[in-house]
Amino acid sequence: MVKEFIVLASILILFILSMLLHSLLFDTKGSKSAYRSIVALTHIVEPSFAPSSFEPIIRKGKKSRTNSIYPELPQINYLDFAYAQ
Amino acid sequence: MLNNSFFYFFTLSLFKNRKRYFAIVTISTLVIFLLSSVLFLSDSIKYSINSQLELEPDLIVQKRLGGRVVPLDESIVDTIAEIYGVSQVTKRVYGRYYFDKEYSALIFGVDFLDEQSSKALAKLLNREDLKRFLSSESMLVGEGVFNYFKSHFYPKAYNFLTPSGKIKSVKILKVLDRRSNLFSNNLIILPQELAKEILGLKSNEISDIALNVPNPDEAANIQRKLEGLFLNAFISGKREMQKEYENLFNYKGGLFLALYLIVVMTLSLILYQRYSLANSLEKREVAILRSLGWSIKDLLGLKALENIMLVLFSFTLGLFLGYLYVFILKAPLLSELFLGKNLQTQIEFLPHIDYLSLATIFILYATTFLSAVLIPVWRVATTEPKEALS
Amino acid sequence: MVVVEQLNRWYTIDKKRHQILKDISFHVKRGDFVLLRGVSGSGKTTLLSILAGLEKPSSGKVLIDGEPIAKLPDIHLSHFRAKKVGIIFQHFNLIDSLSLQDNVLVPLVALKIGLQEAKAMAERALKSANIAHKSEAYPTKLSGGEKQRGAIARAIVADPPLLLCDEPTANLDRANSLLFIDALHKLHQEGKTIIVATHDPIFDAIDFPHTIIDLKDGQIV
Repeated sequence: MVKEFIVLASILILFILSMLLHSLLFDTKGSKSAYRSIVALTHIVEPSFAPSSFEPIIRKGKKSRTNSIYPELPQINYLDFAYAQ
Repeated sequence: MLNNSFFYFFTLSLFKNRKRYFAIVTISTLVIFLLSSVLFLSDSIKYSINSQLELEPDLIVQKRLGGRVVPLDESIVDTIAEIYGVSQVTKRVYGRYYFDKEYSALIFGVDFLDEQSSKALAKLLNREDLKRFLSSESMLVGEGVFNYFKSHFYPKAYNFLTPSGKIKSVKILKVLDRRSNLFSNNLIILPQELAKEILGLKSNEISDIALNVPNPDEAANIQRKLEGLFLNAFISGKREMQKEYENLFNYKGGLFLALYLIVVMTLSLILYQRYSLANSLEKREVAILRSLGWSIKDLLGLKALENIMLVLFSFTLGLFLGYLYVFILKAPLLSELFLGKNLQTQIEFLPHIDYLSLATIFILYATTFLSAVLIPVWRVATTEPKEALS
Repeated sequence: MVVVEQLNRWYTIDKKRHQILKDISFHVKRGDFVLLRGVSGSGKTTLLSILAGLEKPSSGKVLIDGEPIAKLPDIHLSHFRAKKVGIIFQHFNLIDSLSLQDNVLVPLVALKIGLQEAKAMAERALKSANIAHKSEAYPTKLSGGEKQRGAIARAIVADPPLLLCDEPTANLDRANSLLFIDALHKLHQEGKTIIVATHDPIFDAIDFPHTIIDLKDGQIV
């Protein structure tokens, strides 16, 4: 069982070493300069996922009459035409 | 060590009882995995944000009416620039554009006439691209926006619908560096005039004004001055914004989840304690060892060593899985919990580890675990071995 | 070797005193073979437990090799037990998760003997108990007789001068019981002091010199 123990301990050491190695070899400088190039332009230091509390949010008050992805096409569920008849 | 019979017996006991330990190691590993994933993610985001905080403006001037943020008239920029002690006054034009109910992007308008902005833009684009960006209606988009266009629309351009009902077709000039996804994933950078048109701002209107105050002692004075100068002005300072981030991450990443997980851990350990007290097999084993000449010290040493190994194993494994999940697999699901789900993307989180927090988790976990195991063993070991055998 | 004087043992349950052993006194010389006889509940096992240091007497004196074992602190008592006393239990008490060889190693771990030496000692003990061929087997795969021989090997591995056996033949058939008595005889000839607590009549027929102590209701008769 001593052998098994040594194997187990080596695996644990390998885990720790691989984490350390990855964090040391990671191009942190490159990522930081990539961040910097964006933030220097926008001055917005906020993760770009959730809408921020201070943003002036432009909401669509009512449902758009056009399909926002293909603006030239009407929405499929738009029944205005049928009722107009 | 290899010729030490106690060490040999310890390894025997550890591996022969692996079935008995499986459940507790699995639960502990899972708890450590969850805890360390949350910690790694929140630390990495905090670290990335903190690394860019120096670029954040000292003060932001907005106009709020009834709590709503409304556009500012850009003429006040000159008034602000004249205040003594203020520098780098920037007009900002930005806002959300909703592709549909769920997905939106942050539109940011670049003012070419602003020295800082044009310098920053020159770093993002080479000379050729810069010329094209200035001369035609084109945009720079983050990876998330680009992927959205590619899968839902067209990868070369997008037709924006302006609030006045017009369609604006804008070409994609460049996709921003994917390494900057944390800040640029849902970003669309446009010339300021075009951005105003898409966001429905008049030509003399801007979203807000960012400014710097080189002397930090002056910041409060200038904030007061600005509040006095402009009716309905809402001024947020750097410290308030930083506090906002801190609160956000402390709530989401720190206290709430940590408390929840500690409850889970304590519960599982209490169960384990009951289990180990009730485990007659272990009681019998302890009694046999005592009757064959093992002292209480020997027994506690064996059990402590065994459980330290279990703690180390589950802690390292949990930590490794957490690291793998956050920094290699880019934390699917958890990153959405932290950052909100909008446009799909993968963020490369900077592998920054807060060793102090890790040490705190380890100490909390190890002491709880070891005391939950060693106290019942000590109680069995100190009863007369004959009693334990019967 | 063993001196017991005015030994008493009682338990208090619900404020009521239950006397298990009463005024027990006897002497056992080095190399003696003693049969501790009596029916179930006569106090044999309790007496044996006190001699092994597994239980403390309520009053009286117990000296083993001149050591007052009742007064020893745990760490010394444990060391004394590992070095001076070998115990063979009625239910063998082998650890099921360990192979026979590793079971035999257990007392040597307590004595902090190096692994190589301990393994050599375990092998010798298994050979002298005639069970070396099963050294890699686990207790659950062994017959009653084999388990008993494993228990003997474990009891003698540290070469203790005193062997205590608690109802050693209770779980054995006649043939295995006779084999066990043979093994005890051999150990006796090697100079070990042996005390056997039993009520098995098979011990009545032993043909080598021995002393008998009869116990009844916790008293020597």
